[in-house]
Amino acid sequence: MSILLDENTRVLVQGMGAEARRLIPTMKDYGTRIIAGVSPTRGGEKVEGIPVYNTVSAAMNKHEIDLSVLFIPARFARDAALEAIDAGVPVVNVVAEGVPHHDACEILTRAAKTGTMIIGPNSQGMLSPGKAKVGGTGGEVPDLMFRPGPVGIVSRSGGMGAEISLALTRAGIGQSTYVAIGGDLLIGAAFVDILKLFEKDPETKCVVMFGEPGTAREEQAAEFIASGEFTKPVVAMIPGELLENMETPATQSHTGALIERGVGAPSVKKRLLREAGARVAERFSEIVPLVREALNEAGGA
Amino acid sequence: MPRLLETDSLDLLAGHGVPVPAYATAGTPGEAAAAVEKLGGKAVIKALVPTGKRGKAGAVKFVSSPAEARIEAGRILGLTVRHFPVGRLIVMETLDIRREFFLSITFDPTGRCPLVLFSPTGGVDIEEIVSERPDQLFELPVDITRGLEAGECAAFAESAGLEPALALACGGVIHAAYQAFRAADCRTIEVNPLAEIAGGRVIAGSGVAVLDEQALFRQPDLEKKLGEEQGNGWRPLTDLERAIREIDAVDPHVCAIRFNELDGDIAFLISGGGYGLSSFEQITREQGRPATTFDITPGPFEEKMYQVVKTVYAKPGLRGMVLSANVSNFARVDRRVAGIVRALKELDIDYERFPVVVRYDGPGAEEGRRLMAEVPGAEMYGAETTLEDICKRIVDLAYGRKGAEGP
Repeated sequence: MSILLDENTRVLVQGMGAEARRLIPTMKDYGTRIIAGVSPTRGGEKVEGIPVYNTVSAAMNKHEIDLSVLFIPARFARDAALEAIDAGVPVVNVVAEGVPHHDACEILTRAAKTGTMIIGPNSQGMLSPGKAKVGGTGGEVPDLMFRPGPVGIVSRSGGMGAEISLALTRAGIGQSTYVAIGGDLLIGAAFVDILKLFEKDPETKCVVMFGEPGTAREEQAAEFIASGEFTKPVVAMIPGELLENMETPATQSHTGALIERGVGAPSVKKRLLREAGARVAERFSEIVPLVREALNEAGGA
Repeated sequence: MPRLLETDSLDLLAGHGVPVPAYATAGTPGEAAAAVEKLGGKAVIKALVPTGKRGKAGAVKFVSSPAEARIEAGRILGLTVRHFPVGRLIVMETLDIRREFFLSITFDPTGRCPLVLFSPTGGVDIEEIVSERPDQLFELPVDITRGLEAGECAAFAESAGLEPALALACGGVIHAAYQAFRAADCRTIEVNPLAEIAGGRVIAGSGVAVLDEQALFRQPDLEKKLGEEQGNGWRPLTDLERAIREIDAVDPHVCAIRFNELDGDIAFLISGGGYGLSSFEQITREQGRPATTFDITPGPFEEKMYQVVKTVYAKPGLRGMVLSANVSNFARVDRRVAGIVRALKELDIDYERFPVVVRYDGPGAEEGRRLMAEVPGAEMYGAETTLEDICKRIVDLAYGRKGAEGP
């Protein structure tokens, strides 16, 4: 099994521009079941062999949809996401980087009211190895980075999620599902939401989470693990502790990676995760050995 | 994050109905004296810089005559506040303050909503309230799709312990400030102090609006106000930062660059939010000293990478350069490397003295490796290595560690 996405997941693509035309073939080749597309001006056409509708609800009238992925520029992401939410799509993946925070907030508020799961914004997508992928993740070279196996991966950084998958794959350790939850301050599904799904997935034996400075999402994950509701071993990496006292941020491209009002220091996140029983990697090279340890504990692999 | 100057912040608040003091700006002691005269002979003079903590830097001063204003303005104009040299002043009406409050509106990543923060204890930093008087910080989460009514703002202020008339006045300010927060796409609005003055009136003693960089495309008037005074967020731009911004500005939406200059000696051109941060920390752990930070969004990299490598190489005191990005999904490795190789060839580097370490993989990697082989001194690695390997490699080479072997 896997979470959120497998070979049976019926996927809708919103936005049929250049990005969609580039990504759709790689998604289809990997096994993703793309059912329909939406483009307000191209209803009735076929793009990459996929029937296109003017609106999400028109597509939903003809097809059953489990998940929508938005290949829509940041400035239009709000309208497209709200359309998907209103039409009743259960899971919406917002890929765009640079969605205005007020727009993201509206999307997430509306989604909370309808029970829609939002992945993103600023999410590279998700991938269940050997089954399906949505978004940019894995790109043209998914087999370089991913292979099927027992490790769930959830990351605030698309790039680091890919690097962790790559390191595991090169070490012969496969993955169940990789989810890029997004680097922005305001995102939908966070660590706890994804851990809940991994808990229920029998194929997932342990989880690697990659966090960042800022927000309380890793702290909440620690609390969730400590509560006993998550029973599988967790390996976590959160960079930035060595830079906590620097005046200048090392990088500013993730809008969530900012320590505000004393919340979000990597040192605190790591301490809480350790206290909750997670294995915390200080360095990247510790991840693979810690995952092996975690898999032994889980009795898997 | 882009931060409006105090004058622009106050204008924004006033435009949505928040009472603000009368003020003028001044660039010379004479202008400051004239402004104080107009305000009735008394005023507060403050440095107009895009940073906080001005009081602690001695850049806020009450004056009670134009003559005193001239002296104090001259002094403050000579100061540097948290790296920002003071070039302009705000000369503001003094307020007969009875009581100070704290008001801020920001986003709560946990609740995924706007959050109004109010404290009946004002005039101190929010950090101080959080650490010393957490019971004095009151929170009102807002449903952004519904907005905020004046009545609930007043009830909220009353719940913070204010008597009804004062709560009504504070509620009015909270309501108006929220309208400004929404209209201007703010990340944060802060009014500190929010002051009760004679007659039970409530007025913003000061104001800061932090804008959303991701929404500037639809706030062109505010974007114009930001100007270059912002610097890189914590100090004015250096010459190198200005040069890189000029490279970026040729086509700001294609391969958008973020760049900071630091005090170190290894040119650090490793991009990616999480990947860049992880690598930066790893180089620091290896006792390396990054001289820059860098990010570039995917696209046709060649020209910008060429320009950046050439420009950064000219920074004095560098011991080496490391370039990388996480293994890419679509971004063409060969386009990146083509720009780097073109720059390296022109620079004619002695790699014994100035090591260059590169790690890229993904689409176009084969062609990338072939291109890089044209500059035999530079080392290129791929998916067979990790970020940790190349961070160690550049530090070993740059600081001449003995027995260093490649990954």
